[in-house]
Amino acid sequence: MSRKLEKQLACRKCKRVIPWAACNQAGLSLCRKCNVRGRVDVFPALFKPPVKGKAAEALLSEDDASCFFHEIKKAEHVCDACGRFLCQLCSIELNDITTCAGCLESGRKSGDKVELMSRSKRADVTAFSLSIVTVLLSGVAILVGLFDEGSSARVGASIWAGFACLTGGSAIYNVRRFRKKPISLTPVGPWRFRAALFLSSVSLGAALLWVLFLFLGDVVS
Amino acid sequence: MSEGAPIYQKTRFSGRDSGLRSRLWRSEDHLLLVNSSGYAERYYRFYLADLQAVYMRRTTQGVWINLAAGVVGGVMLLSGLGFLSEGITGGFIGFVIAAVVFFAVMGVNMVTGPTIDCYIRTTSGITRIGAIDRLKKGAKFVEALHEWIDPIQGELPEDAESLYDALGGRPTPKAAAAKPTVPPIEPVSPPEMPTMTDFVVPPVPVEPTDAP
Repeated sequence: MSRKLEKQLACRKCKRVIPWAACNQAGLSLCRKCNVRGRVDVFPALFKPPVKGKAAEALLSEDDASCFFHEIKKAEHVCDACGRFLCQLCSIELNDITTCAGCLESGRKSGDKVELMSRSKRADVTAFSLSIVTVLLSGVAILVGLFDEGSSARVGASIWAGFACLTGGSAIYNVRRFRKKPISLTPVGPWRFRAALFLSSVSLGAALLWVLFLFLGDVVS
Repeated sequence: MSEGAPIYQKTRFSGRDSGLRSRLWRSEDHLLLVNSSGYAERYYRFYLADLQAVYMRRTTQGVWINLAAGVVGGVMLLSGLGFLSEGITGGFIGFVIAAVVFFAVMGVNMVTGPTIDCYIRTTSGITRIGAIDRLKKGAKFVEALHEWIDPIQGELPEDAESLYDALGGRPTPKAAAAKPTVPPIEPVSPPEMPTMTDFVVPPVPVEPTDAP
C-alpha cells in the first residue's frame, strides 16, 4: 500500500508536481495535465528534516560491558524482556520499554504485544459464524427426522447432525482457545464469544438428542 | 491487552476499500486505519507528528454507480409498467419494488456526494485511506486532522512556499537573495605578449682560463 516518496507533492494520477499555490486550498484544484480535480493539504511535518539515529559507541576499556550482538560496541541499554546488554544501535524504544529486535519479533509473532499487531484474525466472528451454521445444520437434521420415516430419517438426521458436530465443535474450540487472547486492536466486546458458545452448545445438544431419540424410539417400538 | 497498549476511540470516518470495510480509529498520538473483511483485520498506524500531507482526488466511481443504478431501475420500472398494461398486478408490484431499490441506491449515492480517493503521506510512504471515500467526508476529515495535528505540529512556517520549492531542488527566493552577487567583470586589456627578445639568453661571460 505504501509507495516511494517524491520530495515534493505530486498528482496521484499523472505524477506532475503540485504547485504550492494549489496546496491548502478549501476547494478542489484542477490538475492541468490530467484534468483531475483534487485537493492537497500540507502539514508542517513535510518540512521537518528526518531524525538521525545515534551511532553505537566503540568499547574503549575492558571494564565496560559490551553489546550482546556487537562485541566491539559499548553496552548502553538492557533489554527489558530478555536482559541482554544492547548498544545504541540494537536497542529499540517502544512505549517506554527498551527491547531488542529478537524480543520485538517474538512478541509480534506470538501476538502478546498488541501494540505491535499489524493484522489479526477475528476468532470471535469466526466462532459466531460457525455457531450460526451449526444452528442451521441442526435444524436441517431435526427437519429430516420429522419429515422422513424409518431408516432414511435416521440416516439423514445422523449425517446432518454429523456436519453440525463438525461446525459446532469448531465454534466451541475457537471460543475456548481465543476467548482470553487479544483478537483485535480495537475494542471488541465478548458477546460474540458468549453467543457462539450458547448457540453451538444448545443446537448441537438438540441435534444429538434428536438423533438419539430417533434410534432409541425405533429400538423401543 | 498488554500494558501500555494504546486505547482507541472510534471516529466517524468509515467507508469501503476494494470490498473491505475501512474505519479510522484515533489514539492519543496516532490514527489507526483498520481494513477489515469481517474475519481478518489489517492495521495501519499514522503518527500525527509524522503526517505530512493529505491528498484527495475526485473519481468517477459515483457517476458509474448512478448510471448503472439508473439504467437498471429504469428497465425495472418499464418492465413493471409492461406487466400493468397486461393486467398482471403481481408482476407490476414486484418490478416497481425492485426499481425503487435501485433508485434508492442512486438517491443515496447522489446525497452522499462525489466519490474521491484519499491518501495520507507520512515520512514512510503514501497510503490510501479507504475510510474517506466521499468529498464531504474528506473535507470533514481535513478539518478533524487540523484539530488533532495543529497542537502537535504547530502552524506552517511563514516561508513554507520557499521551503516547498526547496524540496524540489529549486533555489528558494530567500537563498537566491542571500547569495553574494558577483561584481561584473570589467574588460581588461590583454597583457602584452612577450617578444622574442625577452627570451634571448644573455651571453655568458667566458672567464679566461690560464692556459699553460
